[in-house]
Amino acid sequence: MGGKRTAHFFAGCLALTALSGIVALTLGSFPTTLSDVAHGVLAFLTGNPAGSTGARVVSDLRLPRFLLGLLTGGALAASGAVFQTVLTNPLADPYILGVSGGAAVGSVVAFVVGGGDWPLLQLLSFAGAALGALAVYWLAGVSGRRSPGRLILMGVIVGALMNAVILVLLALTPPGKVPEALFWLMGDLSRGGRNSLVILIPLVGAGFLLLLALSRGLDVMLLGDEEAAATGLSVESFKGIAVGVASLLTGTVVAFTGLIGFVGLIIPHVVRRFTGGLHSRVLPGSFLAGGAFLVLSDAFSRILQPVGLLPVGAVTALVGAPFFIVILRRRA
Amino acid sequence: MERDRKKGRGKGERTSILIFTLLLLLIAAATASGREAERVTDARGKAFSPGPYRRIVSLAPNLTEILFSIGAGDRVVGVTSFCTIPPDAGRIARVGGIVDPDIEKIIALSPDLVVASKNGTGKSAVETLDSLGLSCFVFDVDSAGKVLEAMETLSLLTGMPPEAGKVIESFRSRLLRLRKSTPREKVKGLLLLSVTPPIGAGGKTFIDEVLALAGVDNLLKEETAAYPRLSAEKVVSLRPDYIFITRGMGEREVARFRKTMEALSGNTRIVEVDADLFTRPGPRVLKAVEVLRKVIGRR
Repeated sequence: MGGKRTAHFFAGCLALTALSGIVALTLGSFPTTLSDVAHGVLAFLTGNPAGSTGARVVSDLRLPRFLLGLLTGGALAASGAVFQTVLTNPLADPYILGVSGGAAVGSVVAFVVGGGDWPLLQLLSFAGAALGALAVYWLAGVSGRRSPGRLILMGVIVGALMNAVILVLLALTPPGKVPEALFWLMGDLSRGGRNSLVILIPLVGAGFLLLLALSRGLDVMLLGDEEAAATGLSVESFKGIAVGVASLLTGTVVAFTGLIGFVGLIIPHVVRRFTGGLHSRVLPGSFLAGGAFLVLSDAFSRILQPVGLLPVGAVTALVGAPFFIVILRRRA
Repeated sequence: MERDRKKGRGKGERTSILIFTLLLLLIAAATASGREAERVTDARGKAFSPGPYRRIVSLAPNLTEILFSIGAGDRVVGVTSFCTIPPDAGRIARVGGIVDPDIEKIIALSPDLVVASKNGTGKSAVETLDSLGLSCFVFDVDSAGKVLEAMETLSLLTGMPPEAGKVIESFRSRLLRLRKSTPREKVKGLLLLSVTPPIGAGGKTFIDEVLALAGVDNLLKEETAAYPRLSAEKVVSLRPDYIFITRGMGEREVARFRKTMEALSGNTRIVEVDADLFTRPGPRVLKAVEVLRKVIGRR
């Protein structure tokens, strides 16, 4: 895998991110001029309220949504890459070990008791995600080694249980709130705001850097548990740390956006085609590509918004699946 | 003071200035409190100036319907894609769904008021609109009485359209008449919004009130869920005199449900009713009562 190819890939990723930014900031039902966009970005950065309505649309709606999309897509894709390595399973995604089920239960509880208000929704989603991951990890190790197979099996079992719990909870949700809860479960980037970003940027940044710090260990993990142990890596505790960090990173973004699928599963595969398996490249590549992909999917979903309902979580699969079938069919 | 004395202003002059200032303060206070008294509060307790508002975006189908019923339809500049009643509402600019309206589209319509429903309009949408300075007037309409209140509030906010008074009075007297004439002898029944699987209206819905006013004892009154999911067996075990089914479901499914019910409980009458009357608490909520009374033969 040549370094040139990797360099090209990263240049492409940056270009794609820039493109997604331009699309996200200029596209919308409210007619905005380039000056609105510039003033809006400036107002967002300085924290002063924007002057014109157009600039306010950019600073209060489009820019926070763009950043939320970048962070969420990036975090999901990077976590997905880690899960796929640690579990030695190409079908692994950030939701496989209980995070999604736990977050979903937490968020629906928030809709039942608090109507989905900030910050209860975010807190309960995150708590649910963390508890779900913890439950899976603990149960998988109750009698014996936490092999990838046992972890995944336990993830599936806990996930099924959580699904049943969600159905019961939805029956108890106030009728007017059910569509909102379902919408949240499918993923929703509209809840971004300054206050969410102030929390998210440092947390996602820290989580991603932690994963990056694990790159060497993750590279070794690709050899399989035994081989990795032979190199002197304490496989069990490394797995625990990697899964823990990736789960918390996923839980953090899920708490702000609901469950957006597909990004965390497919992006790492595509990225590896270009960068090879080294995690010091796969992780940043996944972060950039995942972020840009989610922002573009969201832009697509917003174009369709006045006509009908198509949540971004559905668009990622609708737009992404055919695109990635083509990419993955081409031999790297 | 020093300068005053030097300029030789008399005591009288100073007193008159004082009185004048006091008077100004009094007038200011009076107008402020007058305005205070005029303010209208929404379901969240948020105070609004009474308007009149001329460019309204409605984020709930029942509120759209109420606005049109009181003759304020010409004030509505934006509706959700679910606001299809009355047909005139369908010709107004669409701002997307109920849970996730397109905020930018709403802003682009430059409304002076946005009306939203407490249990329906997406909370994040309401919060975002608030933060942008486009205040949402939130209504909590879950009964016929609340429909009447919403009619009055919206009439106030739109500066009393000419027809409003008559419409509201007629609604009030009809509601009063229906309340007084509620049949003492009840029939037992339930209303299903879906038949495969059967999903009924429980006690925490406005449909429960409609059934009660019509003289139907709602067999699902005690259910925990607002819209409980039932089984055919459960429906049979409740021994209803009437099962009301909202129209619009697959004909074949309804036919199959009928067949099952007729085989299992021969005395139950299954009646299809207009779905629109039972899915949105709006001005036609009383019509829903009258339709049910007609069906069970109590006028």
